[in-house]
Amino acid sequence: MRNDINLPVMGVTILLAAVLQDMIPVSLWLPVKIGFLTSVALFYMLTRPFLKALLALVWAGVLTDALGGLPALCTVSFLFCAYGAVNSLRNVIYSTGVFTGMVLCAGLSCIQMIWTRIWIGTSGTAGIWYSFALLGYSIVAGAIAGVVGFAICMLIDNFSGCIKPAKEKNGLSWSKAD
Amino acid sequence: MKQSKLLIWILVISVGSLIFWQSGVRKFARESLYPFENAGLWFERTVAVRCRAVLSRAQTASENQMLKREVALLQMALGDAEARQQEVLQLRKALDFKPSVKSRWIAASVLSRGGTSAAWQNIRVAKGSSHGVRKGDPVVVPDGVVGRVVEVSAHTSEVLLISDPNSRVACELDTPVADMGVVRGILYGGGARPGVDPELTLLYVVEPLRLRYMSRDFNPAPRTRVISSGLGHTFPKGLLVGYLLDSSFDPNGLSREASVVPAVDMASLDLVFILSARGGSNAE
Repeated sequence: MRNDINLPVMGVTILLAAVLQDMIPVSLWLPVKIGFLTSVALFYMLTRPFLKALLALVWAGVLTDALGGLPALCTVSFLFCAYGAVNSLRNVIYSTGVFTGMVLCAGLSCIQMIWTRIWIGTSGTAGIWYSFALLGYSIVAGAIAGVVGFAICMLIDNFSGCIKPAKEKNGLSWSKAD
Repeated sequence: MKQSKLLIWILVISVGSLIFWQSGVRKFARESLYPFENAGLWFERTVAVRCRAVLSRAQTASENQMLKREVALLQMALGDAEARQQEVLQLRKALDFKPSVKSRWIAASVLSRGGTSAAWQNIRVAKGSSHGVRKGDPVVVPDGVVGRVVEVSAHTSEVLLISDPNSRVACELDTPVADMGVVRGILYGGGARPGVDPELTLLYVVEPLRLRYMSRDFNPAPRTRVISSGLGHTFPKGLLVGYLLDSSFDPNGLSREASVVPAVDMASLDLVFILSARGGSNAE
């Protein structure tokens, strides 16, 4: 039986994203965490079949909740809902490049910020401008996470051989069609 | 088909452990990341520091000279302290006196600030239950109180900072007041001020802490030192917590409350000390 490399690659990528997200601190210029785990989960939602995408989002959600001190299932349930939305957009999305990652991740980070604040019950404590500022910052952080996360995921996929070359319609590879 | 079954099993185990074994999952996740974070810390402390040193050689030389002088001074102070400790031990032995708290300081490097969500004001440090750290142990730096340990795994501990809105510390004012006794209160973490829009520059800066339930008859002066009272049984008495900014009556007029600025700069924490209650070589 041929071993599938997808699962270990997925595990390593999610672990790497968790380390990055955990170790990069908030700063005066970006007072929110950069959501690498969300961007990696999003990448796998777009590029992998149902079960593998589900596993990726569960692992990413578990790590976000466990390492962020959030209640269990907070991020997992958000990513599950996000998967539903992203899946319905699959036919509309032209490619799974870095730009797509940036746009989708920026949007998802913004919604995730609201979701988490409501879940942990701190939504009403801050003033309206404070909340708007945090949302703005989360969009910027999401865009950064999208670019970096998708770039790393594509790189790891290429190196590990998870991506197979697309078959030509006439059965002749472009590299041999001279 | 076989692979799908495997994926389903892994999925069920992942979700099940998250729901039914939450604390274990948290510990497992922290322990999984610990080697990588420790490697990052090692890289920062050896490779990155040396690279910076090469880039700024002149500055490093002058800093080295200054540090050598400081080391010499500290060695003298240490010798003095050791002599005093010997004296204290001899006197204790003569009086048959045993210290009330057996404890030791454990130095710990900061691994992460805010975890993956930054929803709470907490830090993760690189010492855990295998080093003798227990839940509830106080964490300090030479400037003052940092917080207390809230979760422990084998090699890491989560520390809730006193600036977190969920933090409470039993405190008193350092100024002895004539015929008033001791002025005590409970220090609440700052976080975001409810119902108020802080300026954008305040997003990262810690909001002032609130010292509540003080006696209404005493008007403390600004810059009064706020120290731990030891009544909460978490922090020992006399640790510096912060400095008083201003005070006013609470909305009911029954007590007085004050704004307190923390003595420690929470954003620049690098190395902290955990006061372990297990006792150790320097306990007596």
